[in-house]
Formats: sequence, structure tokens, C-alpha cells
Amino acid sequence: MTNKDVAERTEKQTASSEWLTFLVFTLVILPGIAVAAIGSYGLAIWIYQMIYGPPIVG
Amino acid sequence: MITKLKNLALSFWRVMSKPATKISLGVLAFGGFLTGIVFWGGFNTAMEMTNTEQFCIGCHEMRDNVYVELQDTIHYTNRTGVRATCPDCHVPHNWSHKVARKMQASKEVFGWVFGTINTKEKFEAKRLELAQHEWARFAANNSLECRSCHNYDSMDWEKMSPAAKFYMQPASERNVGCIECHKGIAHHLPINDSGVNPILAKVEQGATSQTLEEGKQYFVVKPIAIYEDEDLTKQAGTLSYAAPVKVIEKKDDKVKLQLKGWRKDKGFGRVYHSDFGKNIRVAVMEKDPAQNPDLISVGLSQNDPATGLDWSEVTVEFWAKEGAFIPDVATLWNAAGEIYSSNCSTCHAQPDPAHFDANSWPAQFNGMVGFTSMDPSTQALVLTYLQLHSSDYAEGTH
Ligand code: HEC
Ligand code: HEC
Ligand code: HEC
Ligand code: HEC
Ligand code: HEC
Repeated sequence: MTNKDVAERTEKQTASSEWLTFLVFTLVILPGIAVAAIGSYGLAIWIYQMIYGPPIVG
Repeated sequence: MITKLKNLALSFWRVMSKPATKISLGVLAFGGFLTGIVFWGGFNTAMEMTNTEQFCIGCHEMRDNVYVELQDTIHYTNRTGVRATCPDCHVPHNWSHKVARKMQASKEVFGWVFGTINTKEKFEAKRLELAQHEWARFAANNSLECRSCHNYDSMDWEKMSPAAKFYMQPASERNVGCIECHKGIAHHLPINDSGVNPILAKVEQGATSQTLEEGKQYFVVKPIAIYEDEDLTKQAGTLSYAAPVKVIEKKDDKVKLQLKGWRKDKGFGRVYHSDFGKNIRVAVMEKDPAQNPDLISVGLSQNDPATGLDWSEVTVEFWAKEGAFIPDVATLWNAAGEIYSSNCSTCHAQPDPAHFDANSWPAQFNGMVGFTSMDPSTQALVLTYLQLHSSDYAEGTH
């Protein structure tokens, strides 16, 4: 194997692992975090309302 | 397995923590932007999807009961063609509160999985409880959801029916929530076909397991027969709701009780009242026992200047069965108060019990009770509740 071959292979590897990581991150992990965050926000408000009561119109 | 996961996470982190070498910044930024849009769109679509009537009635629990009933009401078909759907009335419109309500719906999913209301019978049995949750919600937010469509400020009183104007114009000045008077606007009200009010049934249930102790005071949770003898053969009379009794003696599940009350000297003296000069019933005696000095000791007579009648204090001892007494009368009053407010607030805000005195309540109450679906024995309880919380007894007023 020449040095050039090795360089090409690692380059290919980097490219595919970068794409895989990018896609997993934006399509799976971030949406997961977003939904979990909104969910816990909702849960927090629910708990708040259980203690302090729901919103009121003036 | 664990090391594999660890390696995966490590290599993920290695790529994540370094600047990208093969994907251009433009592609990354665009990709992030695009998925962001798609995500937000998808998220809101999901929120909206779960906020449609179609979604709600996807569960037969919702479809077969409340939805069918809604179809007969003004919010389903009307001359203006404006529909109120389930989420319009039941789901908060503000985004944060909507998300909170969606989380709350985990309770519904739970109920669905475990079939808490999956038959008509179960639904009707649980309906009062569910309705009370909704009433509490509307009461706490002053009927916020109704007001996203209706508004007092936009109501033209002159165009309303006289009854509507008569009740609602004063209510609008006090900004009273719609639900105070418009319960059952979209679905049938909870009914109780067992004959016993479900709220009362719970209190009575609690009393059956209460064991009585000698020397202590208790309150009766429902009208019961009382007897002259410990074998319970000769009926002496009937105790009324919340009559206070003291346990003198106990034999198995039978108890000898003592009751103090007041009776009018005029007539047979069969009706005992809780206080001097107050027409609040605690017991009604049979004719002969009412005159039996072995059972009853009569105190000195006093004249009530308000009516000119003479009243005497009476102490009566009798036998009864265990299982209808509670040590804390507040339990019974809470139930009575709940029944009162759910029955007497449909047309007008319920009057404060302390608005009248004990002797005025019976006439006020009896003139109105025909409008409600209270059965006679519940009526007796609510009247006693009102009298004992009337201006004669309320703190601060007198
Ligand atoms: C997964 C099936 C299902 C769906 C979909 C559903 N419900 Fe329900 N709902 C239930 C069950 C089961 C209960 C009874 C929960 C319990 O036993 O406490 C319930 C209870 C309720 C209650 C009583 C609330 C309370 O606090 O007790 C309301 C109001 C209600 N649903 C409205 C809705 C509305 C509005 C929608 C649409 C946004 C909806 N439901 C969609 C199954 C469902
Ligand atoms: C989506 C909007 C909307 C919501 C939410 C809504 N309503 Fe209505 N309501 C209407 C419309 C539309 C009519 C019918 C108007 C017409 O054609 O006369 C109506 C009619 C009524 C009437 C008149 C009944 C009759 O027989 O004339 C009452 C009372 C009423 N609503 C009370 C309520 C209460 C209480 C709530 C909250 C629990 C509520 N509404 C929530 C839109 C709404
Ligand atoms: C103090 C009690 C009370 C309150 C509070 C109240 N209503 Fe009413 N409302 C009534 C009565 C009583 C009627 C007449 C019912 C009838 O004629 O059968 C009525 C009638 C109506 C009507 C029909 C009007 C008509 O011409 O017959 C509408 C619409 C209505 N209410 C909406 C509301 C809304 C919306 C709210 C809350 C913002 C509200 N009401 C609060 C007692 C009340
Ligand atoms: C006009 C407003 C309105 C609409 C539209 C409406 N509801 Fe209700 N709902 C109420 C009110 C008010 C209550 C409280 C009980 C009562 O007063 O009847 C209630 C009570 C309930 C309950 C508790 C059980 C009960 O009968 O009291 C359930 C479940 C429910 N609604 C589901 C639904 C579903 C599902 C829909 C759509 C098919 C719907 N509601 C549409 C106003 C509404
Ligand atoms: C079907 C509608 C309706 C129901 C239900 C109803 N009321 Fe009334 N109430 C009225 C009307 C109408 C008036 C005023 C007309 C009158 O004075 O006769 C009124 C007036 C009153 C008054 C007189 C107010 C005053 O200051 O003089 C009292 C007290 C009262 N109601 C108590 C009750 C009680 C207690 C209940 C429950 C058992 C009840 N109402 C249930 C319609 C109702």
C-alpha cells in the first residue's frame, strides 16, 4: 500500500462517518432532545398548575 | 455490549467534536436549517392533529358517549354554522398550556389502556368524577375556553331572552364564569340512577366501617330508625341528617345513644330541633314514645319571643345499629356543599348560605328545589346544611 492509498481510504472513511454522524445528529438526536425538552416544559407547567392552579381570565 | 456502545459513543463524539473536513459548511448549515423547518412543521402538525375532533373521537370512550350527546346541542348545529369542537372547549388555546394539557393526556392514555371507562356502565359510574374535573378547571380559569368564542362585552342584552338578560347582565358585571350557570351545555349531566346521590354514597360508605366508642360524640350520615329496646323491635322514631348523638353503651353492633334537642310545647312534641327557636330537625319521634317519660327527660320551658311559642329542651335515649355514624361532621357538610353548589348554581350563582337565617331557609329552599333533580332525602340534607351554615351560625355575621 502506498501512502496515497492510505490517505484516500481515511478520507473516504472520514467522509462517510461525518455524514453518518451529521444525519444521526440532526434527524434523530436533536429532534429527540427537542421533543423531550418541550415535553418536560409541558410537564413542568402541569406540575406548576397542580400547585398554583390554572390560568385565569381577568 | 457495553464496551461496544461506549466505543460507538466515543467515535461519535470524536467526529462531532472536530470541525468537518469533508462536508462543506454550507451543506451543514443548509441541512440543519432544513431539518429544523421540517421538525417544527412536523411537531406542529402533530399538535394540531391531536387537537381535532377526529382525533378525540378516535377513542370509542370519547365517541360513544360524549360525542353522541354533543350532536344534539347548539354547539354541533346552529343557525350561524359555527362549530365548537372538543378541543375548543377542552384544550387550552395558549401554546404553553396546550403542551401541558397534552402531557396531562397521559392520564387518558392510561385510562384507555386499562379500560377505566371502556363500557357505558363504567363511564356513567365515573362520569361525575370526570365532570367535576372539568368543572373545577372551568371554575379555576373562569371559563376561559368558552370566552374564546363568547364575550360578555359583545352581548346585546336587548336581543336576548328576558331570562338570559335577567341572569346574565348582573353576572357580566361580576364577571362570573359561564360554567357557574351553564353546566351540561355540551353533554348530559351526570345522573345517579342508584337513587342515592354518588357524593352521599361515598360518605355513607365511609360510615359503614366506623366503629363507635362509648362516651364519644358522632353524627348520623343518613336518616335511620331508632328504637326503644336493645333488640331493635319497637321503633321510637327517626333520626335526621347530621343529628349529633353520644354513645352511652355498646352491645355487639348495637349502640345506646343519647340525643339532646328542643321541641315545641304545642302539639305532640314529636319533632326535635337542634337549637332553641330554630326549625332545624334532628329527629322525628313516633307518637307514643314522644310522650314516654322513661325515654325522654324534658327540661324547663322557655318562650321564644319571635314566635310566641314555648320550647323545652329534651334529652332522649334510644338504641340504634352501628354503621351510619361518623365522628367528624365536616365530611357530611363537604358533600352537602358540593351537592348544593352543583344543583343550585345552574340558573343563578348559588346564594351564600349565610345570606338567610335558619328559619328563613326552608321557605327559600322549598320554593326553588322543584327546579332541581335532588331526591327528597338529599333535599333534607342540603336544607339542614344551609340552615346550620345560615347567618345564625356563620362566623362574622350576626
Ligand atoms: C386514547 C383514547 C382517547 C383519546 C384519543 C382522547 N381521550 Fe379523552 N379520555 C379517554 C379516557 C380513557 C378518559 C378517562 C380517563 C380517566 O379514567 O381518568 C378520558 C377522559 C377525558 C376527559 C375528562 C378529563 C378529566 O380530567 O377527567 C376529557 C375532558 C376528555 N377526555 C377530552 C378529550 C379530548 C378533548 C380529546 C381530543 C383532544 C380526547 N379526550 C381524546 C380516552 C381518550
Ligand atoms: C368554537 C366557539 C365556541 C365555544 C368554544 C363555545 N361556544 Fe357557545 N356557542 C357558539 C356558537 C356558534 C353558538 C350558537 C350561536 C347561534 O347560532 O345562536 C353558541 C351558543 C351557546 C349558547 C346558547 C344556547 C342556546 O340554546 O341558545 C350558550 C348558553 C353557550 N353557547 C354557552 C357556552 C359555554 C358555557 C361554553 C364553554 C363551555 C361555550 N359556549 C363555548 C360557539 C362557541
Ligand atoms: C348567573 C348565571 C349565568 C351566567 C354566569 C352566564 N349565563 Fe348565559 N344564560 C343564563 C340564563 C339563565 C340563560 C337563559 C337560559 C334559557 O332561557 O333557557 C342564559 C342564556 C345564554 C345564552 C342564550 C341567549 C338567549 O338569547 O337566550 C347564551 C349565548 C349564553 N347564556 C352564554 C353565556 C356565556 C358565554 C357566559 C359566560 C361568558 C354565560 N352565558 C354566563 C345564565 C347565566
Ligand atoms: C361547548 C363546549 C364543549 C364542547 C364542544 C365539548 N365539551 Fe366536553 N365538556 C364540556 C363541559 C362544560 C363539561 C363539564 C360537564 C358538563 O357540564 O356537562 C364537559 C365534560 C366532558 C367530559 C367529562 C364527562 C362528562 O360527561 O361530564 C368528557 C369526557 C368530555 N367533555 C369530552 C368531550 C369530547 C370528546 C368532545 C367532542 C366530541 C367534547 N367534550 C365537546 C364542554 C364541551
Ligand atoms: C331553573 C332555574 C333555577 C334553579 C335550578 C334554582 N333557582 Fe333560585 N331562582 C330562580 C329564579 C328565576 C329566581 C328569581 C325569581 C324569583 O324570585 O322567584 C330565583 C331566586 C332565588 C332566590 C331568591 C334570591 C333573593 O335574594 O331573594 C333564592 C334564595 C334562590 N333562588 C335559591 C335557590 C336554591 C337554594 C336553589 C337550589 C335548590 C335554586 N335557587 C335553584 C331560578 C332557579
